[in-house]
Amino acid sequence: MIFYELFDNFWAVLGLKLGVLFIFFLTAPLLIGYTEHKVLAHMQARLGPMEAGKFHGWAQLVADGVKFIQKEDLIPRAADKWVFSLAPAVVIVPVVVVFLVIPFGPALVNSDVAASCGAGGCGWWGENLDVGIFFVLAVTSVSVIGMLMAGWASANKFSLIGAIRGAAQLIAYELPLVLAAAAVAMQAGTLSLVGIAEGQQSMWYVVPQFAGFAIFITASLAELSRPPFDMPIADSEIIFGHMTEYSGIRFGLFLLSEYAGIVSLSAVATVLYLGGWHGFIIPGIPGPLWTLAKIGALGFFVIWLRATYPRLREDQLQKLSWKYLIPIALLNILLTGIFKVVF
Amino acid sequence: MPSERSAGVLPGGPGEGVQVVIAGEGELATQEMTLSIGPQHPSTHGVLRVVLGLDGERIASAIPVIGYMHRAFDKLAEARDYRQIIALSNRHDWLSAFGNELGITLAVERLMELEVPERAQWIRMLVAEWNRVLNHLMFLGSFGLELGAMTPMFYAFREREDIQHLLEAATGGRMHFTYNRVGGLKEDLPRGFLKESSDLVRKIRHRLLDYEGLLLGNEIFKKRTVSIGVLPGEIAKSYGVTGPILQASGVAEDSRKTEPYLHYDQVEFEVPTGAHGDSFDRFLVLYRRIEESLKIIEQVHDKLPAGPIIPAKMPKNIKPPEGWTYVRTENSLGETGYYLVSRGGKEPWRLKMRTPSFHNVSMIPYLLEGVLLPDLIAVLGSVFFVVGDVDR
Amino acid sequence: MTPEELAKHLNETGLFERDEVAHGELSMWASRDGWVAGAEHLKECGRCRFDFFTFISAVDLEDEGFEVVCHLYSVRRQHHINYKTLLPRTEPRLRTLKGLWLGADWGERETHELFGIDFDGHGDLRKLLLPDEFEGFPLRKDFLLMSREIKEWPGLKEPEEVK
Repeated sequence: MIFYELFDNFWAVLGLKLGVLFIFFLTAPLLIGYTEHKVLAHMQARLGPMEAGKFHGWAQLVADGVKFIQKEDLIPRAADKWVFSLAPAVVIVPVVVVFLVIPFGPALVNSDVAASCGAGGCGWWGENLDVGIFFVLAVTSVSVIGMLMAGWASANKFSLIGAIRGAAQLIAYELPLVLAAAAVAMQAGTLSLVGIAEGQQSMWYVVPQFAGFAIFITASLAELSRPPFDMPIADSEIIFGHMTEYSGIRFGLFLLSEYAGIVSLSAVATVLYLGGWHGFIIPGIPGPLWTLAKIGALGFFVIWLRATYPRLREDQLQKLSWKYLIPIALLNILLTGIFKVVF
Repeated sequence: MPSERSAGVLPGGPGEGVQVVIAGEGELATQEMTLSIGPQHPSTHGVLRVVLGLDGERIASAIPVIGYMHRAFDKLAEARDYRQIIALSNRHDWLSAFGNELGITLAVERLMELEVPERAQWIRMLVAEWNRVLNHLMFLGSFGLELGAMTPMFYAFREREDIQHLLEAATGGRMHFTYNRVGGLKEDLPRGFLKESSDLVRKIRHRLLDYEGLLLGNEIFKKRTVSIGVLPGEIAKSYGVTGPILQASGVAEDSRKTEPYLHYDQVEFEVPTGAHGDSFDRFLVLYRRIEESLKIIEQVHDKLPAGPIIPAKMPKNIKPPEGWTYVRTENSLGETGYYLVSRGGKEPWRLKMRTPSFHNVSMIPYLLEGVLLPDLIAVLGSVFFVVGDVDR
Repeated sequence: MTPEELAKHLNETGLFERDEVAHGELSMWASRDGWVAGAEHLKECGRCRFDFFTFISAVDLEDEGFEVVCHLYSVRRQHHINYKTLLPRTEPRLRTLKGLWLGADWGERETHELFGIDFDGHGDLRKLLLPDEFEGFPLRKDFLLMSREIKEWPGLKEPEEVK
């Protein structure tokens, strides 16, 4: 059948995967961004975008993207040109790369039928890495470098303060993220994201790992510099942190990386804790739709937090991570290990 | 130890990088960074500039630089007659403009020994209290915004829109009312005003609960404001700080109670005070003052008499006799006073406007010693000032 | 204390030159050299207790000189006072009250830049409200409002008087 023959051709599969991921990368953050506009607006007793695209401003972010692209290319005179220009790329590329390994749905085709599919078969994912979660965590921490590059190269004191805060915060919250993910990997017995998702057939990992789930969500919020952890950006104190001097498409890439980050970390949390593509209550809905729904729900939660809470001060933030989250995460690993061995 | 930086020399000019001054000695010498917050900054309410000497994220010194909005009110007042001064005066504390007008009319009336009709006095109280609610709502919203909570700002502005709509029906203006005249008011309240006013009181009282949930009970908000920016009562008095800040430091000084003007002695209300004098207390006092103002408004509704709003025998040209007087009113931000010296002419000989924001801002260096940079925002947001009031 | 009682008490101390009560308010004049001594009494004396600094400014009395006005208030006793002194036009100097009330700092800076009155001992009389390059003392009566010199202000006339 031509379907299987398609999967046999390595280049066709590669092209298809890259195409789908590219479209996803372009549309999902915009969708989350639009949701943020609207959700925040309705929570604040106003309407949000209504004009762009006639129907409730659906094209607002598309219009924003076009606006950013046609803006003047501004680099401050005192800025370090190359570092300044490269920083947005360093921030956004890791986020996109994460999408490659996240499984959105179950396997479609077995590996013995189509040889080019690799060990786990072909399915709703880009690549089924054996060290999936390890890869994700390693790659997301590259964004810190981009933030530091942007802050230092801007030759602006506010950017510098923002970048230093950001570096301290992101490093502090790497550990709880890793420890929480490690507990899940222990529970599932595999580092592969597909394997972790498949292991949640009977019970989602959020049930035994509820503490880990809370820690993972908190730490991801801090990794993304989202409120209440948006001290590095803190637009009432340091203008816009490391992004102050940016305009045009570079600024657009920073914003895109923030929304894409929400999508990617929500996706990782979905796979790790919320059962991936497994449904509940309502039967018959295909796996990828479940995944997207869960990502949307987590995204809504993230936006909801933004509307509600003021931001934590930097030292309170650090205290939260080092004194509370890390001990709890370690305890979580300990308990998971005990339960794994005993039961 | 901070050597080359003298108090008067401030950085400026375009294209300037990080300015460093060596502070400390030996291998652990750190560099103090001079950061200028403002005059254009999202957090300073208007054009206030604070030059900070930063040691990492700790503030070593803070110097407020004011005067960006100095409009020479004192000098202009010497070339205007009293009706024109009323229109000028409400451009200062623009969040509660009526209070400024009230002070100047009371000063002139005291010098001329005019009898203001009863109805005018009660209506003045009503509009002044609505102005107080307007002003306090603004600071409630913006304080949350500076700390990162975006939502209370929108709620505050929703309430303010309703109040401004109400006052526009009576005075014709949403912000600069120019409703006072020497001797009374411009015109009477429109029909249906009192009903709308009491409906609005009910609505706002109900909506105030949102603020309690969103801000006062919020853990993160408390962490950011409790024990931050503590101001002892004695220091506050010595600086001349008044209003909610002084009351939050434990001093229950309110001109409406100690020297009642208009008919404040005939309405019941309390003066809320704080226990610690920190940012959270200032905020709490602000919140409670709104409730007290709503109480006063309701009482005025009941007690409002009928009658004229300007005396029957008003002189055509207002020429107060020779003399001097100082009249103070409890404006929303504190004590607004006018020192008026008249030599019998149509214009004053000297009109000094004593504004609360001036003294509130002068206190900032005291509050900011040794404070962290994010706390600067928490402190600045709790020192209630309006830049037009500071610079006049 | 009522203004009359306060006037009587302060006159007995001998630190003040004259007093005036008008419209229920009290003004006390001190000599220029007795400015700080009088202020100290106002702050320390148990019956006066002026702990609240309201404002300090000046009035240009043309030939008589400058009259510096410092308004004080007592939170405990709830009475006011306008504490004044007269300075000759040719030599407007006065000692600072910065040591007694912290609010005097900015008030004296403002008075200095607007009237040209020197406050000895203040040490930091930079410009507060005016730009640094500003020359002259605006609130003096001989500093004319430029726009008034060029053209008479249309608001000066009543509407009926204008043709």
